[in-house]
Amino acid sequence: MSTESGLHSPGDEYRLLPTRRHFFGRSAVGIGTAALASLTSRSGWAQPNDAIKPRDAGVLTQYHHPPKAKRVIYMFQSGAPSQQELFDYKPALQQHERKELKDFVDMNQRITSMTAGQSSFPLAGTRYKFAKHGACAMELGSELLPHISTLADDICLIRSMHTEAINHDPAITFFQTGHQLAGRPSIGSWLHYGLGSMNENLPTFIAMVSRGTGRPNCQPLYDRLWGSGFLPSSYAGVKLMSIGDPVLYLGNPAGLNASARRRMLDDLEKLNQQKLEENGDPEINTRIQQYELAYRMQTSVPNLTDFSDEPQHVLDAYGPDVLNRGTYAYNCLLARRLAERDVRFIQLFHMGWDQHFTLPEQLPGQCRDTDQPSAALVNDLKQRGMLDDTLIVWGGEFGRTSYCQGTLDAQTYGRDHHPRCFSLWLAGAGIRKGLSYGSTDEFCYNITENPVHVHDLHATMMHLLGIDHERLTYKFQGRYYRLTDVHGHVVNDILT
Amino acid sequence: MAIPSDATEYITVSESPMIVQIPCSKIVRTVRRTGIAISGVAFVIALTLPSRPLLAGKSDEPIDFNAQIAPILSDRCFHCHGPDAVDQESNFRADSKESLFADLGGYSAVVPGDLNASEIHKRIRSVDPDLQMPPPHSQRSLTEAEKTLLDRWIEQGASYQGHWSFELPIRPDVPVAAVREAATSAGWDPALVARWLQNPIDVFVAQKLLEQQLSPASEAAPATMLRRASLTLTGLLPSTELQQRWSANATEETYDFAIEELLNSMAYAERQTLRWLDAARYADTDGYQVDFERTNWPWRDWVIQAYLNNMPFDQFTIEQIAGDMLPGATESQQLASAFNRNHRQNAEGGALPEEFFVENVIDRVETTSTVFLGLTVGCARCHDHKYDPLSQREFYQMFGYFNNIGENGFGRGLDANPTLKTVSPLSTVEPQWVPTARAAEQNLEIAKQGLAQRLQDWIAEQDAPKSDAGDAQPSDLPSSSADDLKVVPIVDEVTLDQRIGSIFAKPSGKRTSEDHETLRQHYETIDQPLKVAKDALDVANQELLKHNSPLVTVMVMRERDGDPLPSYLLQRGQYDQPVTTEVLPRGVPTALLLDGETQPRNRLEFARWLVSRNNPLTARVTVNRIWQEHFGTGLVKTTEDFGMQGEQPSHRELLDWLAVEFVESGWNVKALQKLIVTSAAYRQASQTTDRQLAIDPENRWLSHGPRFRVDGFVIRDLALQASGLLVEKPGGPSVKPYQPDGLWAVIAADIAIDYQVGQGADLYRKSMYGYWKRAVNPPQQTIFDAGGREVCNVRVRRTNTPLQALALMNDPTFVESARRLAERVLKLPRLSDEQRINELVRLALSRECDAAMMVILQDNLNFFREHFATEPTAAEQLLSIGTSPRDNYLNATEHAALTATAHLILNLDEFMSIE
Repeated sequence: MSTESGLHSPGDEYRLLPTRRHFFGRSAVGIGTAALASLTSRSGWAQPNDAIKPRDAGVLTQYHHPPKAKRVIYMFQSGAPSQQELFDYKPALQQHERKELKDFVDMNQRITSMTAGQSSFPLAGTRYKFAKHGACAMELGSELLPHISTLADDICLIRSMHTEAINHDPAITFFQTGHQLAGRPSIGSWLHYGLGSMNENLPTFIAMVSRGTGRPNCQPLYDRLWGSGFLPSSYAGVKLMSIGDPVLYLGNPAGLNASARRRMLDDLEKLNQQKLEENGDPEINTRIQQYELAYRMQTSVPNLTDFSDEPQHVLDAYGPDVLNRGTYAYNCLLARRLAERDVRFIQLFHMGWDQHFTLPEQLPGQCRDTDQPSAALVNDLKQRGMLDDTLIVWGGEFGRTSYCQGTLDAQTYGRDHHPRCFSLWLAGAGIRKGLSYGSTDEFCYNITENPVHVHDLHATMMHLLGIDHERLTYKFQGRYYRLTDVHGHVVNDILT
Repeated sequence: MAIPSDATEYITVSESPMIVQIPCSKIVRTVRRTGIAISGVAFVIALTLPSRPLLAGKSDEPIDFNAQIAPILSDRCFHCHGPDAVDQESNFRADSKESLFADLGGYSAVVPGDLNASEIHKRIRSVDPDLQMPPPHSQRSLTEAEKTLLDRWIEQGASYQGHWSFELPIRPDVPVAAVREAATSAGWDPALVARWLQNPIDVFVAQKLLEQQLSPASEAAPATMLRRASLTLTGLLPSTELQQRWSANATEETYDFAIEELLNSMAYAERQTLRWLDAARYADTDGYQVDFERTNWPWRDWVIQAYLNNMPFDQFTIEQIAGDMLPGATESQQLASAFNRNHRQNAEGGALPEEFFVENVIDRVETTSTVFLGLTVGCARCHDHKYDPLSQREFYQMFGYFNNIGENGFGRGLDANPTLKTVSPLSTVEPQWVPTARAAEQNLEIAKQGLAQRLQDWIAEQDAPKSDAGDAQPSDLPSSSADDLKVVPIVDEVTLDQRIGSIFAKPSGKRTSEDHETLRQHYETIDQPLKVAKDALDVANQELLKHNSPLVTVMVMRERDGDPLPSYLLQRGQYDQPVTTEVLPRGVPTALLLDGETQPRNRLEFARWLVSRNNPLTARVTVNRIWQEHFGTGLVKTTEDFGMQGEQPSHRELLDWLAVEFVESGWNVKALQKLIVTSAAYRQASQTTDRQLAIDPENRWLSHGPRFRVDGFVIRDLALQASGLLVEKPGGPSVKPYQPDGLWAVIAADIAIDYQVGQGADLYRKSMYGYWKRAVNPPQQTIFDAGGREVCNVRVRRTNTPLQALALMNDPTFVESARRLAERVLKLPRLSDEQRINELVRLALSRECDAAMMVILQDNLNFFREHFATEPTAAEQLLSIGTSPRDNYLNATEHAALTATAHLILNLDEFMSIE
């Protein structure tokens, strides 16, 4: 592939051709077409669709470097899963149970006002078993995550994530937009803006929400998490609904069947065409096309959400909730179906991971919701050969404290927010397999090796998608904004 | 300003009719002394400089520094050689005239007239990556055209000016004679020339058209013209009555009357207010994750009233920024100050009040700066502004105007002092009820104050008889302290009494805290002073509610007593990193002050400075925003940014003329609106030719009339208006129209928190009254590009997406509107199909149906007539959509068929377009 930097040889370019064809093959209006036009003119690679004006091409006319990932499935665990129970085993916490954290570490951090008033910060060890998994011997909280633990040799676990925010709203907004305050575009919006759409009858960025059974009354979410910020609203994520029409206003009104709708659209096009001829405003032509696209969505979405073509063993793999709309399992299977349909950025949000108190009552439910379906999704993609060009991300917005919030006993202990270190895992396109990356001190307070900031994660994600995060910018209020603000480094260590 | 008064700089205009060399500093001084009044000397310059498209033009044409050079320097150089003093990589400053021309050690960046001696020329032309500027890796490389422009600028003498928008606007002469001559020689029809010389706007627009070798379009058809004016002024179609009057007699004079009528309507005030709500980030909830409800809507109604009464914009500004500080501030003026309390308010458990207090104050600084000054000061929160002359220190000097209201940075907005209890200014309730209600509230507070003591007395009283005579029976308790026997014990009361009795049976030392709580709760139901106060309040409240105007809490501004809270520079913008070694005096950026002008000392003086004649920005920014409403794009496209990185105005002289006119008219908003909508430029037909599209795809030179999609608020209002469903009642609490089920619940903290769709008239109020929840915005609006009201938004965006098509096709709002529109037409006496269709079109599009359209619509109606004749159930289903009643006497097949045709019309591009 031709790039501005010319980082690779003609041999590489040849090797990438089939991938490229796969990238662009499905759609005449995808990202593709603009990039394709520039490529074909160089390689003499003629394509009958060249003449079609890309309607939803991205702002980038070509990748900054060859992409590894074609799409992203981001399984966001909202509320912040406890790394001490799931990913980052700390026997020292059990050893020193009930002793004061400040006796071991210099507690210079900000503490939320929820526990700032505590007179004591006693260490709380996990109640759950960890074990080493896979050929790579990755240590995971397999008592709570038995299925994800089987993925050890496929994933890269980062134990050294860190962030700046200490409350949910700023932290999750930061994870989604690179900024703690509302107003900036989310990751998926940036990608849509940069790379355009790969398909012609579904949105490019889809968000799905599910409620945790471990803690059903939980931290809420908000539309701006998949919003487009200062980018035009057409780049906003489309939230698939778990009640009513999956896409808002998708269904025809009662009494208007498909043939009635078709007739309406035919006459609408005629009338809009008349107006176009009379007036000449090109927006009218765009409007005509958008109505047709809407009509195609009306037929493609029901097909998307109809699981009747899934074999039983696939349904079984995702677990008992897979047919219950609105569950995490359902959303995981839907994510795979969206990925197959060339949706570029698919993001699941599972709520309820905020275990301040009674962690042992809440956490197992959260894990049951997500463990099997998350693993099933990765395996399903793998079996279909799609894991190679799909980037998987699994994690929350910050970590949890090693000291106890609430009463410290086996059933009631809980953990407050901890932004200084936490865990998150990645898998798929371009990600090294079976790698445990970064580490924290024995009290899970500070990072001791290879810190990965949220901006670094964003930079790395964009890198895998063929984008130099410093070069995808949007001018707003006189400034060139980017997802990573003025920060972020690609974490090359975790890349193949 | 950037140009010091002692510097002498020459503007050289070569090869133009007049060759002028005037010391630039003299211009600047003249401008400063005379303020907004016309300055002959400076104006000669302005007019002599022909304008030209950016980056184009022949090599001998004089360069306009502001239009052609400054944008390049700003965009490609300032990032490293700009106002950000800390992040400079070298001492060289491309934003400073001194630095540009200074001796940098045997050489200068710019030597006027001498290309080869100019270091800039060498550097931009260098191919050595170590010398090349901007550096190849910076991603700020210059295009060949830009390099050529810089070279030509140097060759032509390198004239330098301060940034255009930081200079006071001066009213230019209207170039009538020049335009008459040019238009005539360009072959414009004499009638056209005459028409375009009447309104000063048109003379300036014509000047640009002639320069671009474009000619104006013909006048729009009368019906189109009135519809356009009605839509951009009021967001509604003209009334049938006005349409009829206008179509019977469309003259200059009757157009004038029609515009007056529109300007005096409540719809005008509501439309202008809606746009102000976006700028003021108004919402019905607090935002952040908890997103509690708040009740700031009386402020929204204050804005409506201000627009209705055509409050002068300077007063409008002062009252909203500092109404609370005006001497003897009225309740209305205090309410106005809620403008700066529409910020979000964080109540997330664990959040730190100090942190979000700082965010609130910064939001005020940013919103005020964007709305009134068109400046993006937010950049200076963390470091000196990269492009504009605004230091981080100055940012926190502005912070000082807004940090002194004693607010609580944490918790619900309703509790985040200061607040005001008030009613809507649009309330129709008899005025005495407001003070009555307020007095009743105060009395209630007084009654509550003595409650603890009375409770103790009561308990003591209850305890006492036991030792005295032991005659207190539990069932006597409720009336024991009350003569009034209206409190009749009911069954539950008895058990309650038994509980009370058993509590009193215990020795007082053995009572638990729950017991005390039970006693307290019980006592509150029988305490006489409390009961009297509550009853009085109920009476007053009921009267207020009858008029839909409850007494509610509005977050307002109110200065703290005592010394102002100190303002410090916050390192990296962090709330917990103040530089406490220096208390910053309040101040505005000095680049915006005249030489010797004193700094505003407090928020009120700041507000007055905003609308003073010494302020170069507010009038321009305001005029530009109003222009944007009518033409779809501002004269400065970057409505939010008039700084170095903002777009240059397409018509600089026009913008300045309008700004001065606006100020000198007494900041008369309606007069400005009228000036714009009566212009020939505005009244052109919107038809576009291929040539126009090729030369000027965005129609910035205005060679035809505006055509753009209305926003989601207007689309819904138009459908309701066409159907006759629209309830034109102004003001009051926000309402909840149809919204798809579950939108709130699926992402709420608790699935039980859901949107409760309103009833009756609430479903058909104007969209501007729709409840705005920040966490979950109404999809009907966001699908059509509404901002989220998290932060200030002044730029209009328009996308064209399939989700918009889905909403218009399937949202019950539009189906119900179509049903009622059809019903409205079917109820007219004995019409033919053709006449009915014509009525549909007239009601929805405000024009007669033309022949070509009639053919398609008749065919459509016939199709659906047959369709529903064979599908009677489908007809019934379609006619059941929406809660408004249906006339069951109408034939269902006919009604459903005409509904389908009406629905088609509500989906037309024309229906949703200003054209």
